[in-house]
Amino acid sequence: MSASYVAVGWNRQKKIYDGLIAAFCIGYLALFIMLTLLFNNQVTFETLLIRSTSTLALLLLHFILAIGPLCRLNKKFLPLLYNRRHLGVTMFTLALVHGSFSIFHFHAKGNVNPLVSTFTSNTNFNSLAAFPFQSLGFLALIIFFLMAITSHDFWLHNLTPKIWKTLHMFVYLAYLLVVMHVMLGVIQYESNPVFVIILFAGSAMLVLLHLLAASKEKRIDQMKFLVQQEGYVFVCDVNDIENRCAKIFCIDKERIAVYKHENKLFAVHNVCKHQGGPLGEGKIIDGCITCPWHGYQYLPNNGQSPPPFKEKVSTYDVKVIDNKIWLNPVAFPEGTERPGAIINN
Amino acid sequence: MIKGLRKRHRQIWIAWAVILPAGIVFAWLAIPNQQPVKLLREEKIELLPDIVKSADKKDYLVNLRSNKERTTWQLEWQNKTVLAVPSAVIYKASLNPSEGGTFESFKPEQAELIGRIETKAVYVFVLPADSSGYEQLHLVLYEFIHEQKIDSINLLP
Repeated sequence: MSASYVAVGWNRQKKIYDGLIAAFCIGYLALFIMLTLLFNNQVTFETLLIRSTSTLALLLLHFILAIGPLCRLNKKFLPLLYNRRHLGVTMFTLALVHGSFSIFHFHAKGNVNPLVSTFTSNTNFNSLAAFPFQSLGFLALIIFFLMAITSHDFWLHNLTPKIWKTLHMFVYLAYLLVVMHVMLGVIQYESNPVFVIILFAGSAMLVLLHLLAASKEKRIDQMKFLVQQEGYVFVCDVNDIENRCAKIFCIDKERIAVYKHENKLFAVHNVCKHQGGPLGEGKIIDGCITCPWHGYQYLPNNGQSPPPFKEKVSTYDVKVIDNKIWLNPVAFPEGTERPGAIINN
Repeated sequence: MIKGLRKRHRQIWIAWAVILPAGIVFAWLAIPNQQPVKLLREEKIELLPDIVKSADKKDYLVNLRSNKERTTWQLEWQNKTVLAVPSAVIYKASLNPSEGGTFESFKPEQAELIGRIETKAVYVFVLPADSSGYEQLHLVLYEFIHEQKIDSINLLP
């Protein structure tokens, strides 16, 4: 969270995160190159580079796509989400190296422009076995490129979160293109079933994780709150919420986070203004509701980010009667001060 | 995440749950049985003692090898320089033009695949037994990515 734009707002956590990414990538590439040279010492530098970067990029893509649902299923994975964008840019860089060297290696030695040759050397679109798989990889690379160059908060703010999120959801299409790029490309030549099984297992894992997370979210969306009193809805007992934490309730299609803080209860809209993170899954840190995704903060009593920040979320009225929490789902304008409900001990 | 976005995510992954496995399975089933460009050089083959025929070209030396009894055969391919193309395959072609045998009329589907070569190295391929003792051996070097014939070689005693 920063008041102005800098290339990267470095902090200790980001440095550790990026250090781990770099160490893993270097370790993987070194291991891949050593093992390949051990079993095939005639392999060329270009081939080594193309294969090592492609497998690493594919592995990272699976990991990146698993982070979102893992966080929704278990809060312990939230630290992985914190700097996911750096992981995405790393994956794009590796895919770019793979794509560039592949185009150079396979298409630069002819008398046709390599980029033109990539799309025109094979036009067997009606054949699965001889399908022009390189074009699938190229299209996926374009999507990753657009995502990488717009990954900074500057673009998130200027494109608006809705457009930005829509653009970044194209990663799912890119994933499909990558899977088919592999299946219709290298798998047609290296038809060892182990490669197919690994790719199938990776895809199945992602599908399963996303569907499990979606099912969990759907259950929250379908919560029923029947007991109503003067516009207030009974949601839970006071003891159901831990101090400095929240519970999320979905009432009339809106998710509301009810926080317990300093013997009071406050209710704010659950969606963070930054990237739509679930505020109710965060904690009160330094007196502020802190989004679990990227640390954006809001004051519990008015839903405003502390100065100099300008983000605001809606607030709601909440009251306590006989140790039971009652919530009014009518939202106040973003940043409206609300007194909160005092908890009677 | 807002409710609409959650719904969109759910819809996409339900669709992917069908499309991804189907795509993988169909692509797997589509792998050609003959695996036309699979054969890279076979590792650690001991060279047969007799060179029966040979062709010495600027970029490569090709030897047809056999044992004393002429019952087993090998094709030894030595790249003198790095191939100008990233990968190529060697076909045994007929000399009959009507069977796609000549360089001009060559068709890979009518020829017999011997193996695949890539870089500056020595490649050895086992050849099947031949009733005529490989009286004639006509090879075509073919670049399968752009579907181009690179060279044709007739091995001479």
